[in-house]
Amino acid sequence: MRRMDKRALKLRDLVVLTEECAPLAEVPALDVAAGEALGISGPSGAGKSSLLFALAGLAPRMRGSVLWGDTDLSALGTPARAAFRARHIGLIFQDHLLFEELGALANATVVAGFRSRSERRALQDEAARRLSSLSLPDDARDVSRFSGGERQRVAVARALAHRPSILLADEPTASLDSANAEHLTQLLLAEAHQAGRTLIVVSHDPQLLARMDRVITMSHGVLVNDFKGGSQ
Amino acid sequence: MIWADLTPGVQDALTLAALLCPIAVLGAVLLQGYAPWPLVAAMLRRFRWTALIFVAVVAGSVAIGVGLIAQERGLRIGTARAADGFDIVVTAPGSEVTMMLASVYLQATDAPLLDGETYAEIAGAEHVALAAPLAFGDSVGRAPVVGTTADLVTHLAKGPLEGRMFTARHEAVVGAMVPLRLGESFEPAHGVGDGADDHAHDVDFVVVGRMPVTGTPWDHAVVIPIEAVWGVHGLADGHDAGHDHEDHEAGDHDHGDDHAAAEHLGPPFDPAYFPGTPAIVVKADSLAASYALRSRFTRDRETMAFFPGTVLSQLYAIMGDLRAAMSVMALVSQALVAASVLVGLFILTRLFARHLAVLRALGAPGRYLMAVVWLFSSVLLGAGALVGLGGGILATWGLSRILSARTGIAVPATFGWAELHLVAGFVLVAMVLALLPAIAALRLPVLARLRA
Ligand SMILES: Nc1ncnc2c1ncn2[C@@H]1O[C@H](COP(=O)(O)OP(=O)(O)OP(=O)(O)O)[C@@H](O)[C@H]1O
Ligand SMILES: [Mg+2]
Repeated sequence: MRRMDKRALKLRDLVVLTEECAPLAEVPALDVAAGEALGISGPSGAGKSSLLFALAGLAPRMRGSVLWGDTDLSALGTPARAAFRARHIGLIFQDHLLFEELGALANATVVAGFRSRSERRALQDEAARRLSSLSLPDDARDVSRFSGGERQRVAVARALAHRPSILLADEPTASLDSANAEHLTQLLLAEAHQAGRTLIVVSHDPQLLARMDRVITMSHGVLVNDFKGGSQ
Repeated sequence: MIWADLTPGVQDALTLAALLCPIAVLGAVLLQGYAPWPLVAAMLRRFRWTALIFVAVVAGSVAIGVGLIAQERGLRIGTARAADGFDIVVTAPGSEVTMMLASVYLQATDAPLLDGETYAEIAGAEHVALAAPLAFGDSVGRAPVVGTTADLVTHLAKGPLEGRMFTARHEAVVGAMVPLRLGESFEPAHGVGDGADDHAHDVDFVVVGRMPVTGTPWDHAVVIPIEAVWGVHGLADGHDAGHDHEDHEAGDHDHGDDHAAAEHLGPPFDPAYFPGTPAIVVKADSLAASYALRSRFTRDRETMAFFPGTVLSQLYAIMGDLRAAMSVMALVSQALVAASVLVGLFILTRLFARHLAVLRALGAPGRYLMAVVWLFSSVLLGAGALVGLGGGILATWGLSRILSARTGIAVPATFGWAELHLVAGFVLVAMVLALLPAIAALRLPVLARLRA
């Protein structure tokens, strides 16, 4: 298995735009260290998801720079951004976005289809390990029959199966009860603090936000507060 | 080695390979290094009803194409085979097609007659191996009754009869498909079909023999001595009743009610007592002689001689032009099918636009998205083409049986390269077209689909 490198984030003069060039989020400067856990909070419609998608190189338009280590996503074309995501970023979506017709393992390894043969093996192993550590049954059931909590855990396993150096999560605890939410929060923090993945989580969940190394708050598309907390 | 030097089989195989090769190359280029199959299989399962309908539509259009090609060829082979036994037909001047239909395919027609001198001249000509007069116009049920000579029956049967040849005027030999048993007797009706007059002839015939299957309309015919046809119509019987006929003393005498003159069957006929015949089937002893005889008996006002095979080729040439015209229509309709297939593929692609957006968000390269969409489409198109090929073959088989039963011509259900070429060509075009929705999949707005 390839060694995971670590990637710090450096945003400079970032403006995330809609297709019609209306601004969705603006961040003049933001630095996140490799292995740091950053929370993004703010009212609904503040532009949190828009910012997170921009960090993944998924914004259709943006200005300024999104530097992950020495790679500036804003300078890359669509294929190179996709390739960067495939290698370095694990994404957890607000509503999971699983493939309903596939089982848990097939969902967690859905990216295997475009990986090389050797990577496929490693991916399978890692996904299976993740699923069992998340205590998900490795059966052939379609995920459409899964509960919200089970689905969320499959989404987490999918985001981590390729051992990304960056983990981006949008409302990961939204569909979970407090025990499950707590469990997932611990897992995400461990990924940051023990595995050294740079973790950025968008959330309304005060429990989760309180455990982050740092929380930024957005309102109407702009950064209004940068609060350094402690999660230990 | 140039193309024309290759055997047709090799040419056909190479054409097929040339049609399939681009598909393989396309697939290899798109799928190289990827493993989209589990995902595609799952999507096929999920959208199975839509997929099934799509496959059925493709299969239907392919089956129609395959069926038409095979049927057309089967008809051509079948009609040509039916004319095999008829080297030359001599009739009074008129329409070759009409007379061919009458003599080879037993489609009754009113035709002027050739007289006894003409018959005698033809029968006596050098290199004539067989000259059989024909007489038609009567029927038994749906079977036409044909009067001719025993020699022609032997010639057309190409094998031993079940039972025996007719040797008396009231005896008949039936075609393989005629629903009359050996020993059964019947009364022919004057005319053919609905207008036939059932009791015009108060004469009974008995079936003494059955021809083997010939694959011609003669399989449905009842053949009686031509003397009998003349006789029931109250005409002279071709022979001088005053003469004795030692040569036929060996004839069948079981039916004592027959007077001796009736036992004289077949040539030579006495021109003075020859009532006339609409057509004479002639067989020459060599191919060269066939041509010589045809020109000899092609005389402006008296006789017309033709090769049914040649008349058929002329018909096929006309049908070939028709086929060309129809193939333009077929092409237009195929293009319409291709267009609807394309529209169908675009709609199918919309079904999993969200899947594609998620894959893109997870870092899938564009070629992988194309591979997924193209493979999905190709499975449907390929399955439709295969099912259509099978369905077309089945339909051909069924249609051939129906046509054979209707026309009396054994229409073979054959399967040829042309069908394979058609299907391969269709698959090639469709799979290239399937690239369009695959390319369109690249242009789908990812973020909008993720948020939807
Ligand atoms: N493509 C777009 N075109 C126009 N407006 C958009 C577009 N995408 C998002 N918006 C708007 O931008 C604002 C920010 O959206 P975003 O999804 O980033 O909010 P959010 O902070 O994630 O909210 P929530 O907490 O409800 O998820 C919203 O008002 C949204 O309607
Ligand atoms: Mg959001």
